Amino acid sequence: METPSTRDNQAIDRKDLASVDDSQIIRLYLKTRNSVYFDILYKRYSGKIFSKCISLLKDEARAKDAAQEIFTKIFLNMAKFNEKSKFSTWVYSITYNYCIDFLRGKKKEKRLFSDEMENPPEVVDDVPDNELLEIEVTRLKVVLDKIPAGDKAILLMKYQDDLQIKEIARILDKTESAIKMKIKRAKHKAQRVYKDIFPELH
Amino acid sequence: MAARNNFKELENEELKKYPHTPDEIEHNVKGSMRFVQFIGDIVELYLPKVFDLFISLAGGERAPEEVTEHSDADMGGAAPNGEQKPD
Repeated sequence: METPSTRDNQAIDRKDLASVDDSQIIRLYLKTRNSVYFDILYKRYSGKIFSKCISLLKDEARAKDAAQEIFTKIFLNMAKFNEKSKFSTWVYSITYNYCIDFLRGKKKEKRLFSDEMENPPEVVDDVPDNELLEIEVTRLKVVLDKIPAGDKAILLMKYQDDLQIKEIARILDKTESAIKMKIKRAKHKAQRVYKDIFPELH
Repeated sequence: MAARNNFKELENEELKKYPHTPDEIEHNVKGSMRFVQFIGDIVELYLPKVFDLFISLAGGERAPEEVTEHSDADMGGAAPNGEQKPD
């Protein structure tokens, strides 16, 4: 049943959606279970989640199923969101974990990252950020599609979503030093692929 | 960090490529939410009654509030000498 306070909150949200932050909307959603708040969060994140799923899974139909499951997961677990991190970080962590798990299950292998345990550790030079960040967009897409999905995901987390090392570590359940090494190797791999595919540019 | 970040540009391009997420995603997610909410409501409303029913069938005592209700009715519903009170 709608109480006067619920109606007030709806009025605030409908009037000034842009200024209401995620945490406040989550609190209101958990309190009232009103679909108005669901709609606001859905509109804010559905595009990004869907495009990330397409980018990682490379299949629109699969991306649709994935986005649907990710959203259901998010809304069913909303009460578990503890506000220690930003809501967007939490949402992306569910998205990346879902896609990585899916690809892992599909390939029936664990080597999603280029530096899994079975690979002998090799010393790699640190690739300067700007060498990757300034690759022309269409070429960057080609390069990211050629490297392992885990490496691609970790580069997207760092350079597209601006997640901090400790946040990536939490998402992938690894130590910060392991994440630093993974990023280093992913960058190195991306640079190598770039040079292989576009040798004329070097 | 460098000023230019083509990872962000790539994200923008992909968002432009799919400006609208398919409606069926929203529809299905809402459907799942409604179903879960419905099951939650059913459990919240009827589960205690089902437990009470099983307890009664097993010969257990009635819920305390029910017993109190009946005792009050017994005391007020009939006169001490056994005659019914006039309405």
